[in-house]
Amino acid sequence: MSGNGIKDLSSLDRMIHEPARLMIMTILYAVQEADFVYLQRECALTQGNLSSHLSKLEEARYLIISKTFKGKYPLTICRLTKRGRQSFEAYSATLRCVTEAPVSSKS
Amino acid sequence: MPPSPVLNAQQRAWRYWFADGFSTLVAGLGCLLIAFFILYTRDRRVTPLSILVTLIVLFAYGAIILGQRQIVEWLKSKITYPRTGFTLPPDLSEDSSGYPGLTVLSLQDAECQRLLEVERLYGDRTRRMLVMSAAMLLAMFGIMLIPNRWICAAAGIVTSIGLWSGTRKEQPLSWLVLAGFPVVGIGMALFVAGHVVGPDRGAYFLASSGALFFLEGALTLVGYLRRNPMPKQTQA
Repeated sequence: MSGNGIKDLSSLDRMIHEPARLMIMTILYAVQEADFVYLQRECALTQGNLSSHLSKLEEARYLIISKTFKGKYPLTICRLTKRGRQSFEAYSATLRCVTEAPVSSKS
Repeated sequence: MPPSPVLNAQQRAWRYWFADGFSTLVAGLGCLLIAFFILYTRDRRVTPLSILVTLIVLFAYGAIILGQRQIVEWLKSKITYPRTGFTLPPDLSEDSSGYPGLTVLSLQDAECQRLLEVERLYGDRTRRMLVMSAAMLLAMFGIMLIPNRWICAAAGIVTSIGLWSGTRKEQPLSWLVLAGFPVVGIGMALFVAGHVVGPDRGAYFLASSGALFFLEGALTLVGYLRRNPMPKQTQA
């Protein structure tokens, strides 16, 4: 945060700012990794919607998607990258400055 | 103040591990096996059959103790992951060091508060686990070492309180287990403790505990399977 007040809001990361992507980033920030089905259930998104948001986040190099197996069950595992974590932390810090700053009312 | 969405997602991921009841089921099976082993081997003449049974039980118990996580994972890969997906919760030990960015940001008040919140939650969890372990050890040793029959009832109540205290946040146990232990303890005091002493008492208590956990796990699993039928198409 540069401390420029209202102008800091323009530095909000638009890739994360979209609500569905913010949900995905929040969940992936909280866990080590999660698969497609888990994310779909937690975010209550359709397959196509989730898939498109994951692709965008992957393009931005915020997460890695890998295909693996647990037993014979195929899993599409998503995990935040270091860049993704840092971006999420910066985004949270910016938002917190907005929401937690003291609000004065007219007397 | 309600927990942040990140902490909430962490707690949900932890609870998800227990949502299907497999871990409780396997823990119950472990208790039943060790109780069976103690009761089966007491005052028994050594025969090839008894040696075989003992070895099988010991092998199964060892497999459960050493490979509990792998067994539960294997069961989940067959039943849980195709239905409701897979997640790996954060490792508690690495929480403070695993996110180096937070350390940098912690100079800010809000981040300091968040880190303190995480620390408080995990400190609280460790304390609860210690209380639970101490209560269960106290109950087991009390049952085996104190001849008074009513120690069984006290042990049941102490175990129930310990379990409630230890699991209420991550894996809330049902009233079946929480009320079951005092009932088992009182039942043992009335019908068993008069003629059974020492390790055998402990074995009966373990067997009852195993049965309660097994039942709890089985009921949780049935409820989970009812709520989450197998989807026709699971992956994108």
